[in-house]
Amino acid sequence: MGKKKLAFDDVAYILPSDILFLILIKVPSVKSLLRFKSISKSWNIIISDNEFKRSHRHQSKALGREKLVLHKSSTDEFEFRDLESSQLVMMAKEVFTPEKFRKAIVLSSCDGLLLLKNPTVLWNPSTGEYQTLTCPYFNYKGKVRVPNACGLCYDSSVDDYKVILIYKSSYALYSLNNDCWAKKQISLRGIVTLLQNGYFSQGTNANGCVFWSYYDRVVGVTSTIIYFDGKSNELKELPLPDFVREDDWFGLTTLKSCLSFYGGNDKSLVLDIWTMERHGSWKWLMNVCNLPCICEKFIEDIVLLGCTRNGEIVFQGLKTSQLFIYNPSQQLLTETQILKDFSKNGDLLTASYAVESISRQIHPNASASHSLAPQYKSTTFIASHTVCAFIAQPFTEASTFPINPTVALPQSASGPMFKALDDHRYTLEPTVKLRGMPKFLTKKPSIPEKSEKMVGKVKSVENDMESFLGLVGKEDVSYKDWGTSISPLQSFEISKFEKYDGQRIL
Amino acid sequence: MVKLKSNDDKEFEVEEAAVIQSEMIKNMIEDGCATSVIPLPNIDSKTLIKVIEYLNKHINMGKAAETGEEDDLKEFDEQFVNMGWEELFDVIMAANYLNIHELMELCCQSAADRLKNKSVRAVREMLKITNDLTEEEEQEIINDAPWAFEGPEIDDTVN
Repeated sequence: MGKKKLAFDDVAYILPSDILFLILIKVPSVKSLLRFKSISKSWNIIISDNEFKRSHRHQSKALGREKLVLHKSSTDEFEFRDLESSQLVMMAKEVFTPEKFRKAIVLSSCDGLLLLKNPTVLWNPSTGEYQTLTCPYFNYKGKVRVPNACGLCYDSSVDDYKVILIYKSSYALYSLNNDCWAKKQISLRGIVTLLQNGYFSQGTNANGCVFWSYYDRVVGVTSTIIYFDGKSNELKELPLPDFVREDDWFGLTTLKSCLSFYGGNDKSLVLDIWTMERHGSWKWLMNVCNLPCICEKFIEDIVLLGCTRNGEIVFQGLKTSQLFIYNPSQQLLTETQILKDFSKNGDLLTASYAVESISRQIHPNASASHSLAPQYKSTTFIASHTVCAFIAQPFTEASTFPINPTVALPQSASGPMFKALDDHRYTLEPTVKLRGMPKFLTKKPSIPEKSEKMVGKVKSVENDMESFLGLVGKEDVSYKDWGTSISPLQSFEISKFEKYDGQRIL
Repeated sequence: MVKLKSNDDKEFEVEEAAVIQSEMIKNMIEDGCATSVIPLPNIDSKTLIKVIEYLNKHINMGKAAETGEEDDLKEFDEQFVNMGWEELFDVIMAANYLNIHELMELCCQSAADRLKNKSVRAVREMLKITNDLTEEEEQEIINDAPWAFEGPEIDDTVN
């Protein structure tokens, strides 16, 4: 190139901003995007725009750009694994240790956000932003009480994230957009009773709702599902699918954005997986059979974390710190070394999912100090880890699930793209300071000795393990049609956070 | 057959089944506006040839899954986007103008994949962008996320 042109002219000449917008939302790496802000003024404007961030998040979700989050609570080390392939290649390793933050526990994840506690924090690992949440309710002598269940969900109608903390008879709601809390009574008496008699699993998030499976410690089984409807801000009970038999274990997870139900009976050694269709009916997806006796009781001892882009199912062994990958087309379950390598001293590990997201939602309470830089400690990005008896053959089309092609693209990005960037409507009130460390994990409910063993296996809110029971053994069915059933986010009516008036019945 | 005319006055005949992948032309045909030659003042013949090549290959895309030509099509797409930046942008602009969704997706994704993990310097050089940020502005962006500017995956090569 001969004479130098102004950057804006050059970009505008080759590529109008709306086209550049469409290209940049397809750049999968948030880290790259944050770097690209410094390319030129127009690039900075595009990438900093809220509409861009939203579109990028939708794109990431639609393309299933998820990563596996592994977490070692003793050192607050996090590891991110790429779910593009069954190799689960390491993407990054980070230590999350902001001031006063110790022994993080992952409570819930939604899109690119993780809800952690000790104290309660929303964190976007892709950008390093985080925000401390201080619930003004349910404090006892200056200490935050341990919620019975909690979750994080996304309300697409108002583009807002909500945090819910459930206590015995009421719950606290936090809206990220409004940066405010609200307190509500639980209207269903049945749920209040449940809260007194058992545990809820870690919240699973799908279609703007958070779902919990319920473990009844009196009877000793997982017996029902409750959910928080992000549209109406209400807690509801979901009838158990009729295929659930007595003595079955079940758990909930999200597969390709659909709520999924998995479970089985330890006698049969077959684990069935179902996904919820758009209209709320359950569709049988596959069963995991030919289970080797890796765990003593495989069905009860594993958590289904999710799936890779190719559709291999990723399991975590609850007590053994093992990570398994199941290839449905070959019906092969293999153990990876990932968790073992990560945790050599037998730490309890939790694993969850996060989408690569350049979220605008997090608004740091105090600007600079709240951006925690991911630390790329290990310069070697492990290309492939040791996998025991793993399948050498790469997974081809045969084993892939069609990715839902309906990617939400803005028709023309030129309009909203350059609108003012200051439409963060948050009011940054000084938040109530916690006096001392919240006492989250200190109190354990007393459990009858008989059910102690079973209780230990349940992923309750406190120990972050998931529970499950099971389903009927089914014949092998092709799961090829899976993936077409991705239910799009329903268009919710606008729901607003309201101040709790103390009287209203929901 | 539908006749298309590029901005350098060259005419191309394309099968209707192929050309209706362009929403714009499809609408024109439905509205009865495509009786003679359709002039495309924004597209030069070199780019139009590329676009027609794509349209012809993807003519039976719906049937590809049944006939097992998916791999073939995938290979074609990979080869198709193997072009220089300027040419790629020309095709993107043409696809945008003609409203060919699949082609747009393909080319934008290809561009995004090429940009991923590139260093700032490499992107500026590849796309011939002059930095118009002031030193302070640039430093501020770097300070916001210094970790995004370092890492073993960052690729400083230009291609």
